[in-house]
Amino acid sequence: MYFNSFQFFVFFALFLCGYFLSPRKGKSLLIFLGSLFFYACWDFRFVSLILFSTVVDYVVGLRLHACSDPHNRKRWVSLSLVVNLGLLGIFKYYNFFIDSAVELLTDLGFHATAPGSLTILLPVGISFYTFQTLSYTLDIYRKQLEPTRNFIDFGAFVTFFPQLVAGPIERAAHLLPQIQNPQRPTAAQLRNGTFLLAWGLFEKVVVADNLAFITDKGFAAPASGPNTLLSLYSFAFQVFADFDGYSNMARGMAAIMGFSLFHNFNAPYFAASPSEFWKRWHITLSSWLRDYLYIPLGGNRKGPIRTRLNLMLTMVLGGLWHGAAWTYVLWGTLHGLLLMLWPRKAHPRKWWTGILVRIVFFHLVCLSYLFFRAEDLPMVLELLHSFGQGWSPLVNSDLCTIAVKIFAFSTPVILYQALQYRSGQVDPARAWPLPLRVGFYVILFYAIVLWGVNDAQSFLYFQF
Amino acid sequence: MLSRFSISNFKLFHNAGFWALLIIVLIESLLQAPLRKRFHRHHVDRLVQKVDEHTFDAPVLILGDSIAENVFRRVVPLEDRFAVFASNQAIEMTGQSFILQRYLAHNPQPAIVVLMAGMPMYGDLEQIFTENYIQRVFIHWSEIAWMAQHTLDPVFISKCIAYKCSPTFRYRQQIRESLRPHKSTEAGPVTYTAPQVPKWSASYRLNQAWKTLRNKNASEKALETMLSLTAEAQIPFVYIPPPGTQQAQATFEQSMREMSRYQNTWPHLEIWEEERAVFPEDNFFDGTHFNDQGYRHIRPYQEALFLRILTTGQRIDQQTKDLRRLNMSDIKTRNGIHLPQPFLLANFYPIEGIRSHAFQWTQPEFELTVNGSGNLILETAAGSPPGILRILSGSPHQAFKLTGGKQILTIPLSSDHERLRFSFPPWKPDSNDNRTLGIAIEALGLAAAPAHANSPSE
Repeated sequence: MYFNSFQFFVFFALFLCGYFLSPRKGKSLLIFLGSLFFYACWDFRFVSLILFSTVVDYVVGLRLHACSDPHNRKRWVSLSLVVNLGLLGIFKYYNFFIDSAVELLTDLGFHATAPGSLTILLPVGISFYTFQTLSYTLDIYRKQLEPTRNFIDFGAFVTFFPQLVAGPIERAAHLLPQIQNPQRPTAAQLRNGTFLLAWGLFEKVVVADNLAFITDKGFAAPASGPNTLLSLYSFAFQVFADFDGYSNMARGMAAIMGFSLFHNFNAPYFAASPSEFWKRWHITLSSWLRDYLYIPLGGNRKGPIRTRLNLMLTMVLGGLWHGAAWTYVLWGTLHGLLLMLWPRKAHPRKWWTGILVRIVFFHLVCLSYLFFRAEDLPMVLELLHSFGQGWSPLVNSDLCTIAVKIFAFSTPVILYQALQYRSGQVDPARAWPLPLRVGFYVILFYAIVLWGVNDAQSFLYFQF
Repeated sequence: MLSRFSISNFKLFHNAGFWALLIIVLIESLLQAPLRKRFHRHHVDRLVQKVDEHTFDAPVLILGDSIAENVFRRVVPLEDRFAVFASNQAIEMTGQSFILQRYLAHNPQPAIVVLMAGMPMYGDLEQIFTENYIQRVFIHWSEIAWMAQHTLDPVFISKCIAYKCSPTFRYRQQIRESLRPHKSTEAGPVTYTAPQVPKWSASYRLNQAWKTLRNKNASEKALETMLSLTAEAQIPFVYIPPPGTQQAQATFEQSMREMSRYQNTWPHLEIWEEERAVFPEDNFFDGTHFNDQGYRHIRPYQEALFLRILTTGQRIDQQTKDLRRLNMSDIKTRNGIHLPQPFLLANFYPIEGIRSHAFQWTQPEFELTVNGSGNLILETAAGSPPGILRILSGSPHQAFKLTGGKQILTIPLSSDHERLRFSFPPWKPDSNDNRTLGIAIEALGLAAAPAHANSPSE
């Protein structure tokens, strides 16, 4: 049940009716049940998995709070880590590690056979809810959070359907109190929620899904350097519009229900450095990795070399989080290298150098997408090889058509990012006057109806 | 105090979504007619437009799939006799039923309705074509309500309503193409795909459970609606199996099995099984639809078929004009036998060319009162048991022996108020005891009673 499907909108409308009509005490139960149904619409067999994870972290949270002995507390938090990361490892990484180990041993001259590949599906959203539940137990372990005694509230927090399958990755300290004490949405929340929902849908079905055709064609047959470059541009805006669209819709739906979720993107392609980029791109993941991986590893407190190593390790694991493939590891490594090597305190003094730096950095990000989008390493090599070909003649009609389409579809998201960047606000539309917002809605409606790709296409980040 | 109730204090008026919705509703209302007129549509769209906007006075209405369309589309010289609304299997029986309803609502009643369709029960409003050929096309509220009732699927119905309310959504493909032919998006023309619901999805399982519960699929329900409508309007309904290759024999047999189930309940349904024609494979370009060679070869078949349809339609049409129709309020029953208005089990079918009403009963005895004059014509169905019919009014009481099986009786009505009592052995379920009685009244002063009227036996 994708957010961009009719099925989902009907579900959400029915859910909202029930939610607003239900008594205050019943709201979290309704969220919990509604979310489980939402999840079951993908594959009801995996509902047991998410319930298991929920029960384990609920119990661990209570035990951690009740227990004062540091050894026992470590045992309980280890249990949570083993269960959550174990499930993630089995369902997401088992085949990857086994196959990679066999390949490595074979290359080293040993005779190795795989003990057997698991033909299992990747439960949708497992990476997201695993990180969310882990943050709950880790915060309690660090005594930064009080556990909830109400299982329904905790279940609603873990499975909260607007952000269950692709984030934003919430923290218990932020979302759980809202679930425990649900509020009626304010007029501002309704206004903002409606806007985010409409804008997110536009980003997904008009921008991302149309650019997907260009990207897919370009990556399927990398004909020349300019063609590959255009495909990378196309993918850069596709992946942004796709994920930002999802995040905006999630935030919009939550706002309509009276909740506030973290924002996930804030004009990332206007970043002038890797560290700024990661403060603007997939913010909830990068802050999770910072709080629960980078800082526990020592952060920047143990000298420059260790800091760089910590950065690299965090980014490699961040890459691996995105998928069980060496291409993602390389993508993370590349970003790790950028973080390590990018000159610190290199703030451009002149406006044109600022633009130049941003353009250069954007192209480095695009280059990293080559690893992110490629299906395997041979494809990466093929794409890299294509860069050296076909630059003359640079301009031909096919390339111009592709470039115009990329420009046409990406312009709305570039402009909106520019507004975000300039205003310093994540949701600059909040301040728009009424007639502007009305006109914007009408334009969005007709753009979605006329140019939206009508098959409900999966969101890219569902696979992670 | 005044300012508190001022319009400007009403929160909705400060809501951009509200104003945008209002503007969109206004634009969409204004666009309904122009978009409908301007944009070309696929053939089902055109067919529906033809039903809605033109008047036909043909005695024969043809419905059916693309093979029927192949067979009947070359009847231009006979246009005044045939109203051809055969289209495509994609519209399923549901679409055929909607076309029939629209036709009957706008046109003089035909003398005969012909349905030619292979696999008439195939489809349950979930084919890949359903959105483009049914949801997007049949957008009367009554049609949406019918589909809502039979699918109980809020997603399906929401889409129907969206197509109904937004002409921009309905004609988005045509608008795209008119804005920039074929190239306005990389996606190209709008594509319709059936939702890919995995078998482990809860919604898929719920849908399956609902299908099991509701017992019949939408096509079966739609056919029943068509049969009921034609019965009510006293129009014979003829099913003709489409021509095909020898390889399509299994399909033909299945169609026959499916349709024959309805014959017992709906006696006005005629199945012309003998009209099934088999042609060599090289007469078809895809094994199903005729090629040019096929069109040349099917001429004799077409001529014979058209003649039979026209003769049947013409005969009944003429008789309808000449003979008095039985007014259902003229018949009253007792002992728990009901002839509801319109009949649930009572349908129309011809006895010896005269229109009759028929009904089924299960009781061993029941009484019937007929208000009318002329000849009362009764027909018992093939599966009826032997019994006795007594005329209770007048003296002495006449009695007629019903021998069992198909039998036709013509009884002159001596008064305007005749009471008849039928006595039969008790009815047993799941037996071949198919008690169907056809009743017709032949008006006085017209043709004499058929020659095979029985004499009183007691």
